Amino acid sequence: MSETRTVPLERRRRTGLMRYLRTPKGLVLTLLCLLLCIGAIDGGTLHGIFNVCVAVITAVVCDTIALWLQRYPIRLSDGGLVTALIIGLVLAADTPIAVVIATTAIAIASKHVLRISRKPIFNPAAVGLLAAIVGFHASESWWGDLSAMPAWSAAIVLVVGYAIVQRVNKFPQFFSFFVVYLAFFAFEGAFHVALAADAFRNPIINSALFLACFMLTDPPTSPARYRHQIGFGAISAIVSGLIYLTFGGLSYLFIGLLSANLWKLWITRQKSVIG
Amino acid sequence: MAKQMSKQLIAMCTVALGAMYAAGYAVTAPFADQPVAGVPNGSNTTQQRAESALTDKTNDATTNGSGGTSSVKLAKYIDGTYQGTGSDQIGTVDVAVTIRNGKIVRVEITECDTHYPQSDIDPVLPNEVIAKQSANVDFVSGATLSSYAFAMAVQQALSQAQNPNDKG
Repeated sequence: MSETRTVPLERRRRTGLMRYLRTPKGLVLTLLCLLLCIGAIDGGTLHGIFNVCVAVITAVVCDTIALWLQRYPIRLSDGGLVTALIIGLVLAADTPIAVVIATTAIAIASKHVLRISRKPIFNPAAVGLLAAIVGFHASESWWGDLSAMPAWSAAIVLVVGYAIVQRVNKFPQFFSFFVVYLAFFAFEGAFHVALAADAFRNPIINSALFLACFMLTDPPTSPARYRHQIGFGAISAIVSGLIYLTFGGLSYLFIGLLSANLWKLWITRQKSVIG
Repeated sequence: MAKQMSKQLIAMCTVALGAMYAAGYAVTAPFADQPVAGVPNGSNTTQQRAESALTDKTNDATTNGSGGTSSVKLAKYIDGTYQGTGSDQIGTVDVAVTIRNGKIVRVEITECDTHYPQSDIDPVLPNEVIAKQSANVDFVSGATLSSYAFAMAVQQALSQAQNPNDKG
């Protein structure tokens, strides 16, 4: 009797899990875990996985505290898990644990503090990772974008990334980002700027792909309308390119994304003013 | 919510992006893998700085080092600990080079803000500097740019440590 009751319950649970994995957050978590496994196997070290676990625990704790302080019902925030995974995959595997915790805490805090009507203004992972560079001089190897692997690894990131871009319906944004990115650096390359050459090669191209697929497409911080998506992707690419050529370093992609987040805030406010 | 892009349009855009990428890759191929030192500005000065930084013989001795003494007259380097910074398009490497009895006895990477983890070049390159007593290290495969930034940083530190009485 109990067996006949358990089987449908098990099946229901399995169906619920499958249904969750098909949601944008469920799918992005699955795909990031896939990149995590490939990167960890290639790197032959568990340090990166350890950092991801630390980031996930920090995100869960910070999210819980933030929800409790705001008197919202306590629940597991899958958005926080995505942020933690991205941070763990971008920070170098040998990053000190304190830096991982601080970076994740800043990211989650930005999500709860810098927001308009319950939606964060800036991509939380980008805020945390930019703060890690500026504040802690953290090493960001982007090992999750498989940059330590041979050049063909970019194809894996592209295929995995397409799955999430398709799911969240952000292809115009993805294409506009890369059209501007590639045109900008090809133009600079025509003038023999050596930095432009690197933009077409690993690890720079891998990190651009990772950002465009997993961070630029974050639904709460990017626009839904196609024409706005095109502007969002283009602004992100042009600011990133200019920062990269002017200052170098590792923060260019984050500054580009955060600039596009600001533009999205501006158009949202314009819409609300116009009515 | 906007409606989904058609699969044909996605495929066409992907092919167009692939063509743009291939064109950009081909255009930039002749000068790919050329490390660019310092803040990139595309000027000749940048390249000159890169070349001069890796030249062993330099007269650009500055006084940022700590604990330098002039007691060693014939040694190539003056005793003390000297800081150096090397940067390129993927970040910055800071080193501290310790000279004792005119020899390089310790090279420490104090900061490594590059696109690759520090473990790619540490301890391989610091050990190589000590073994060769020079900043002319063999670049680590797969971490060429980090190796370059490291070599620049060591060279900067050694130029500070240079003994002005040494003619060799």
